[in-house]
Amino acid sequence: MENDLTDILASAAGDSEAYRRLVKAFEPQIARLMWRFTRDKTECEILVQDVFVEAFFSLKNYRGQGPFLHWLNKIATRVGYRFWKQQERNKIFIDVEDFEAIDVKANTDDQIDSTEAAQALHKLLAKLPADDRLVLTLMYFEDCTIETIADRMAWTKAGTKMRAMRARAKLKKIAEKENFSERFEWIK
Amino acid sequence: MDKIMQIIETLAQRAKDEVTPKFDVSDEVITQIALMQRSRNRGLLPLELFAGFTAVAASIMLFLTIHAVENILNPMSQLLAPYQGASLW
Repeated sequence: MENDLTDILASAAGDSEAYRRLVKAFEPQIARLMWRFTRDKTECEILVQDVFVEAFFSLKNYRGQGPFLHWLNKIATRVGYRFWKQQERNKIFIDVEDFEAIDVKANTDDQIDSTEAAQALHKLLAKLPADDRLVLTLMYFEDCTIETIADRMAWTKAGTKMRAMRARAKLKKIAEKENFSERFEWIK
Repeated sequence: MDKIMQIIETLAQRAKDEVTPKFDVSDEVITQIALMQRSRNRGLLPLELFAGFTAVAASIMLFLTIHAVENILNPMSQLLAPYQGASLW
């Protein structure tokens, strides 16, 4: 933590080696978060780069009041959200029909493959608008509370709570339409 | 909680254990930052020069405009004003 602070101060003063150390230290956590925004490795790598570049130019705004990772997570969430919004604007729809490709029948509850589970959930969430998708992605994948999501996105707590409720209702409808319960009926 | 939401919760629980890909982007990040800093520094001087020229041109125009407005509002001032070319004594 103390080393991080030294590196943060040095990076803010323009020391690129200090910033390289910071990137290496926080890369796994940021890569993990960005993987929730895209399941394409190349896109994910670009997003991770974008987060660290944006963080570098915003370093003077870091006041050191909270952990550096929280501050980075905030930037990363916004970069990911922007990425989804851009996809929406460009009308890029990822193929979300392919739930059947996941071989779920052969497994039992205790043996659901975590990658397949994440893939299925990602595909389901991809059918939601960016705002709703963000709230539920952070709740389901990252265990974020309403307060954390509101803080990361500079939204109001009440608004975020309402959005989460509506997003859940939308997700349920989509899952029903996709016969989700039939496909995953073996899950107890 | 109904069945569908329960399934989604179970999937979410399992999804958290997923092994995510690892990258090493430090070189790319440092290169990108250096390139952006260079382009920012390069862009600064012409911008400052342009701003300077614009400010000078705006001052000249303001000076001429004030005189023009004064003449339009009160044309008699030109008659009463002493002839600038003549020596006073």
